[in-house]
Amino acid sequence: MSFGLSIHAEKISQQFATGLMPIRDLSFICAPGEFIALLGPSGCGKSTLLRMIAGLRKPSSGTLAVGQEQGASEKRVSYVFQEAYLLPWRKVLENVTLPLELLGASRVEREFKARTVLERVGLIDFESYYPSELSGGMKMRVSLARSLVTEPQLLLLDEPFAALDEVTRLKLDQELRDLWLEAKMTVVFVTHSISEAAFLADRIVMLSKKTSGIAQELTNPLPRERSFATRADSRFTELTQQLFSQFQELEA
Amino acid sequence: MKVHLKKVGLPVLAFIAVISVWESIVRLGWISAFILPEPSKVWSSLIEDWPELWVALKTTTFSVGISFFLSVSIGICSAILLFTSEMVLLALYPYTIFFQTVPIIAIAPLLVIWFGYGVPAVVASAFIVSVFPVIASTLTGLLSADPALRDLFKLYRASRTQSMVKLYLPSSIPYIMNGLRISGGLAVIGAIVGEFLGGVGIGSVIDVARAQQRIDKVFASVLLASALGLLLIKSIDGVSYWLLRHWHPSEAKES
Repeated sequence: MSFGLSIHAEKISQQFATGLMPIRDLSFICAPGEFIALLGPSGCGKSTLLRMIAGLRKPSSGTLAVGQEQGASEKRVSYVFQEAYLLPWRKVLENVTLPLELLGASRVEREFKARTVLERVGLIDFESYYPSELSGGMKMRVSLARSLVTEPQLLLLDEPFAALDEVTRLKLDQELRDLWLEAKMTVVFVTHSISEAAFLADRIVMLSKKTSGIAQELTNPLPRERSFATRADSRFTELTQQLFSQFQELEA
Repeated sequence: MKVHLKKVGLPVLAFIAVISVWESIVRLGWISAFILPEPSKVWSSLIEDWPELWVALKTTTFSVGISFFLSVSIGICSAILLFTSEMVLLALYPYTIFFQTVPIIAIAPLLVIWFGYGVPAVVASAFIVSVFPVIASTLTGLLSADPALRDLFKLYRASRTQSMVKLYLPSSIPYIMNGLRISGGLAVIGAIVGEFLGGVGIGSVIDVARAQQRIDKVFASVLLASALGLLLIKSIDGVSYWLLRHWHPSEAKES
């Protein structure tokens, strides 16, 4: 029995009121506990697809099922945005407890779980700071902590580290991978960075802007445990080269 | 310390300069004291007429306080109602603008007929002119809650009450505070207009003094009314700072 949620998308499309159709007849399956990267150029519909998986938008057509193999009782889905999006009037701890508060957990439980995840992302000493007192990387860590506090079975991330400086970004990529190895939830990570997708995911799904669907799916040959040294691995270099040439074909 | 001295010193200096020029112009007879009484005369009216002015000021303060409280509570509640239901918004919002456009001078006599002489008519007048900025600014604030945060609340299946209390209202505070500053100033103006006809408070003192050609007393009363408005707005600034100091750029402290 796996902890994560599975995703079954069959011929889903999304059409906006403007007539724009960023996703057309797209089908894919994500197994429970898998770490998938959705890779593609800007405007290829990656974020739209992620929003549909989160249930924030219904597909215009097709069927999209997110759940456990046998009729799930409760689905815990978390979402991390392009920016941290913390509530600026709440301190760090209160930001992290928010999801549990909305789901009706008791104060003791909320604060215990929030402190546990804050410890995990290394911000336990900052629990009584306001977001305005934190750096960009710290805010994103709080945002990550907030998404993890509900122990999600499905974690959706929409280019979460894109606005951060490179060193912070590499660190957070590493931490996310480690977190996933511990928690074993399903992760869908949207990015336009080839190396980020190659480092993080087990499977890389490339989206095409032209067909509004999937251009290519690649299984990552890298080992499960990854570190900074992985980036120097020849398999990593090969994979990024391969992804890069396909990226160029898609753009052409 | 030097900056502080400049910040306090310069306005004080400017004040002394203006007052001295004003005083000399009138004393030299360039402008008749009948049109523009010299500052020293306004000051002595403040002292001599203080017992009467103090009673009037208390009444006006009371009326302004009540009407401002009504504007804030009714204004915020109406905005929440308008925001919660699109039907209500479409049906009623155009009519709330009436409060902004109504010529208060013209309907003040009506208010006296409806509510009688005294405080109730004054409160009605001040309320009418001060409620709209609260409604408009609260509504704008509620509508400006961040879409990503709305998604976040949706994702965790927040109830309408939870979203209102934990997201929409806190996001609106900077907007509401701005509305309150405008509303506070207008409440004082609306009260004075109401008092012209309502026969109580500072407005009434101004009306009577003008008829008696006591221009110095008119000036003294206007000074008190302005001070009342200033005090109200400064208190709102204080509340605003207290509520927003940790998180909103408008009240961010220098680090």
